[in-house]
Amino acid sequence: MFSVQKDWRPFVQPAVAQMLSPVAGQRLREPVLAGVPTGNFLALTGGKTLPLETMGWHGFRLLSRRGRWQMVWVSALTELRELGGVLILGTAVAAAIQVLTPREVILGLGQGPVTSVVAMLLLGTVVSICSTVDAFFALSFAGSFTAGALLAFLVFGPMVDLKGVSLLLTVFRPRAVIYLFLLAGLLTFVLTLAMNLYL
Amino acid sequence: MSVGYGADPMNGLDLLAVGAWGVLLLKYWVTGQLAVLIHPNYFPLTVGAGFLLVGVTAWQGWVRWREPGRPQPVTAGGQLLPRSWGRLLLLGTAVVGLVVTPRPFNSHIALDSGELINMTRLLPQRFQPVSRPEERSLVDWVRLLNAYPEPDAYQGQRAKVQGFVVHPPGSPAHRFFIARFVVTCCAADAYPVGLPVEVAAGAAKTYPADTWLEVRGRMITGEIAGQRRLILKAEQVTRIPPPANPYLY
Repeated sequence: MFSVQKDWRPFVQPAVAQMLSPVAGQRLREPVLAGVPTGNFLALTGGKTLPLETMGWHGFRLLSRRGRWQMVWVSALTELRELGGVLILGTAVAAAIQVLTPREVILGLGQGPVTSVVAMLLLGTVVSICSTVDAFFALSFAGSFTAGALLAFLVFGPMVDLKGVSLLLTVFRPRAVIYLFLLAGLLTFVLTLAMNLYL
Repeated sequence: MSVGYGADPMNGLDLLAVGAWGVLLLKYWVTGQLAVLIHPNYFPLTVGAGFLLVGVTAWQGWVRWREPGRPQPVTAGGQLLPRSWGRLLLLGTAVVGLVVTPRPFNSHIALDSGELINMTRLLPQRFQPVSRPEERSLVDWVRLLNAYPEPDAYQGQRAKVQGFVVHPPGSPAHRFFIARFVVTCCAADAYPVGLPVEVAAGAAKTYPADTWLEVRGRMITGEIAGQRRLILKAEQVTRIPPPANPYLY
């Protein structure tokens, strides 16, 4: 089940993969063309030429300082618009689930070693509160749930965040996100169940 | 990252949406409604973001107005939502936020969470007992009770607390709860704390739910739902205006 993925690109959205270098940790280099470059060239001042394919890379250098700052801000605002919209959608989903799902249904799932863990995993997914408050929230269930279930909530709650799913999807492919959550959920389940049964 | 000059990635509507968010954050700050939404620790961050968004919008608007039609750099990136969705969502939410006034949580939500009666939560991050009992706030009392739960220890102590009225279903006619919400980060994690108050027989209904009261009295011990609990026996009940900052921390 565990392995090291050398090439990250299959996990991430195609647009992000374009910006990644094939080997992790290596900085993106100037694109290298074939030994004898052919195709379209731009003529620059001073008799220099620039292959059209590398325009994307050299685009930065051709900008004035003011142009670069302008680009920084336009990029920031574009990103704000895209991620902001996604975040609003995610928050709406999280809020709807939190308001519409009755707590009693989840908490009524059971008090057994297995069912209590399942209930807390579900609750952790549903409430999606920030991790700084998780401990306070879990404390209110300290009397009525098993220690393993509370640990499951504390471990899994901060990892899964319904608001964050949509943000993750902007970088990772859906399948990678699903695997991420499934693996985290399963491992938390198995380990906290072991804690319930054997500790 | 590939960069090029192309179709304008940001249009006026985008700038309007970003600016509206800045105005919204600043509006919450100016009208004092920020206290209803988040913990004061995060006020500087929020206000700073408001100024930044308004500033960037103004600057970019000025650039556009000075040099209309100047091609803008385009950065390629992942697109989960179509462009128009993002800007409409941002703008729509900001407009809703500007129109709707946020209201603090009320007794209905305090009852819904079910924690008021059971009092199972509240581990203090820092605990400094207030020695003069009259100066303890509602949260101070509940924290003290949490740390040392024996109700008899507080019997006869004078108390003065402020909060709103909650009538739990099935409570007798001479009792109600006086409650406040406690906030750790933001309103999403608010939870209620409260103390039962004993008034003259039948008088509990004269204080409708959500009325803000200041209750002075003495602590007594009584039984609520089969549990021995500390009860505030009211000697003087004053109606007070709802405080600007309804939460305790």
